[in-house]
Amino acid sequence: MLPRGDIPPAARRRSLLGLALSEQKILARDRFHFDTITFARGMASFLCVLRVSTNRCPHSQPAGKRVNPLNTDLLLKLEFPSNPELLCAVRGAMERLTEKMGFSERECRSVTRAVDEAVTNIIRHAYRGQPNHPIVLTCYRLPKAVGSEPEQGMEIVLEDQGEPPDPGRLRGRSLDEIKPGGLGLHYIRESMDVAEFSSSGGTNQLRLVRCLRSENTIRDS
Amino acid sequence: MQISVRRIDKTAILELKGSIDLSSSPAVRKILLHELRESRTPRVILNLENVKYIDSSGVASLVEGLRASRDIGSRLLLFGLSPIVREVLKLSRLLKIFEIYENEQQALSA
Repeated sequence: MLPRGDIPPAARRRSLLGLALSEQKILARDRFHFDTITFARGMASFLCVLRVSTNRCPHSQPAGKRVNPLNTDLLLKLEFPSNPELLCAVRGAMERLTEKMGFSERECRSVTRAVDEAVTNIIRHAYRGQPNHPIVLTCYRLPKAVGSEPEQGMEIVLEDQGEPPDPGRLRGRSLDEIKPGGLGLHYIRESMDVAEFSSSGGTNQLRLVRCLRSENTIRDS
Repeated sequence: MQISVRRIDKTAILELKGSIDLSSSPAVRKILLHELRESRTPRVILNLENVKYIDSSGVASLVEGLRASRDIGSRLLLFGLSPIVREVLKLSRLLKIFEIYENEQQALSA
């Protein structure tokens, strides 16, 4: 597990490329580590790791921006415009895919909800509700990790070319306050083992991982 | 998403059918807030029996409706929550915030 405040490998690589690096810790809670690696050059590129709950997932090590997947199988790739009317199609595809992967009914709902919320955030915030911008959703089967429990998983990568979010928005909010808004990020965190956001070269990328585990080990969300 | 309104005395029952997501939640919000803020209906009941999915924007609309109802001293009640809708409200820690009933009769009697 990445120690709080440590720098992910992808960030180190960028640092070696000559980008001045400063690190700003946003927030740390019992279960989540929020580390924003803020690069100089006017926030042109950053990576935010929303570390999520479980140590059981062998795929939970952050990989930074996904560029060359190794030992993973492509399961599904969808390219669609940022039209809210298409959210139901995305949910339908995710429901069937997670079901086919062997996730429990509850896990299928959970992963589907996370993807739906992530796409919703892209449409609302990255593209400001404009319906004709590109979104790419790619799903990979993750193999059993060497030396780990017999678990597989699914990796979901969402990419868009919209405005990167203000890192402050990625903190989410306390649920103690009863008010509209700010729930989508909470659903994503609760549903996924890993949620990493990065932005570079005009492309925003959200990488989500959910491990496939037996029903009796699913955390109560 | 289909939305219809029935009225019984001073109660408006909003029948929702389909999925409440980013594409449909603005319509839900508009009708709900109209009933509360414009019509000032003393009691608004949402029938969620036929809602098969609700996302964070849908939940936000319900919360906004709840706040509007409190502002004007009316009531917002829910009934017929499917396991999926119940799961989302639980995840949002809102199950105990809303007045939730099993069926329409219970909601009308409350």
